Amino acid sequence: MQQPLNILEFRGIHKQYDSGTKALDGLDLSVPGGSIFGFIGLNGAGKTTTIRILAGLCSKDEGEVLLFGKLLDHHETGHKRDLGFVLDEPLYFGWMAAREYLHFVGRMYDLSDAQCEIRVGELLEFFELTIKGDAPIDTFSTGMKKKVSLAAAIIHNPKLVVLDEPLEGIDAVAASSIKETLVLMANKGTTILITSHVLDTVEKLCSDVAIIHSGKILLQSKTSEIRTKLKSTLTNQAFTSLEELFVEMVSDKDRKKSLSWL
Amino acid sequence: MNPLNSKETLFVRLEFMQYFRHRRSLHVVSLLPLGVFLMSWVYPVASPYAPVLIVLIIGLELQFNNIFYRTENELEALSQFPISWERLILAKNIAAILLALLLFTLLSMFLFFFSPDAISPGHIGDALLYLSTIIFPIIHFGNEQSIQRPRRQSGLLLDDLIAALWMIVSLFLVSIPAFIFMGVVHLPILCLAYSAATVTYWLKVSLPKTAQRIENEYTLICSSL
Repeated sequence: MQQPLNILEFRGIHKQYDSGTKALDGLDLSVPGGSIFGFIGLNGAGKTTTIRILAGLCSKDEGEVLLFGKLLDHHETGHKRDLGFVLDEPLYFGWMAAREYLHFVGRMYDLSDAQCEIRVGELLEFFELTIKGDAPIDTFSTGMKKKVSLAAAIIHNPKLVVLDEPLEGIDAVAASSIKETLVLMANKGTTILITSHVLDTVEKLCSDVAIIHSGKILLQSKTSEIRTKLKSTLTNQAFTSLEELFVEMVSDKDRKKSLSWL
Repeated sequence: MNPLNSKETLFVRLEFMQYFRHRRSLHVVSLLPLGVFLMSWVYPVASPYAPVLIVLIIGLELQFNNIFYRTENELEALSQFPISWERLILAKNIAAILLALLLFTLLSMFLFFFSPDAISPGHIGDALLYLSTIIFPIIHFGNEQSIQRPRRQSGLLLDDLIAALWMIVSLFLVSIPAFIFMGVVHLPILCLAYSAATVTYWLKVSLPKTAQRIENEYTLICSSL
């Protein structure tokens, strides 16, 4: 069956927390199938809320989410077979050993014992966790926990992988391996939605990018088109980097940017 | 209601692994002196099984009353798997029942060593009949508690103490039918009929209702903690 053009769509999403904070203010976002989609914004812009709504960890006040061309209904469980998440909060059972946790996750996604054995072994080796594979995840460093989360998110080869700051706390070698894996997965047709503060990484890794600010999408574009099509309002020159574009779009130009003692 | 499939059986195993690897399995051990005291008391109450059941029910309080947050973020972690809440709660409840039966046997073997009286087969039969009348109402109350008062942090905190006291009150309340059937009208067979009714209620009402409440209040539960 042919995949829908946009594998994920948020339409007119509003979300206000009980504290009065408006997290999302009519968010419209379309994630094309097979893309590595960079979702960037300042702290508090609404990235994590958007992802939590998709994961079912947060309710929306208004709007609709379409996943794989169908309205997302969290009362159903079928769509979860094709999703993998790495969120800012741990979604693993820390008391389990990494090997047995990944095996358990694989079985939950209907992989056979034999398939689990193979995939778990490969994942532990890939993420350089083999030596600690039989230790409880709670004893791992932050970076190692992140690797376990990522391994669990991809063990069932989902159609959409959602990664909230996946490279945070991970060493450079592992980060490089993860980026290669994401590109490989995208080439095989998996869609990857990734949030990151490291704009250089997003620019190099992502085929598409969206900038969110104050709960709204300011820009959604092919990464390759950003430099050529968009021009700075200040200089009328094409942007030289995603970072330059991002800073111009989201920074408060009137804010005082000096320190009295410097 | 279909029997457990292989994925759900894995959850039952997971519950056992989680219980025995976590220090809360020591809660039962910490209650053993109380059990020994009650068992060897010169004025035994009700049945020699009373101390066994008191230690068992209080010791397993978290297994009954906090089924979604025995570890931090457990509910969120569970929500990612393609398994319905109703089947997941069924698996968790079955694990709690099996665990209760296992510990009931082990605690009986240990605590009867301190009993001043000999234990007759009649005592064992009465205890099992009594257990059959209380276990499903306790499971049902536990499911309700797990949604109304989830405890992301648990162990030996004030909330846990309050929950343990509430468990004793619940134990007293759910014991009333068995007390009437066995002690007042002297028709223990009614315990079986009552027990069958509680199983039916658990399967037909408690499980779907709890699952529905999670679906409706899930984000509230997650964000309120």
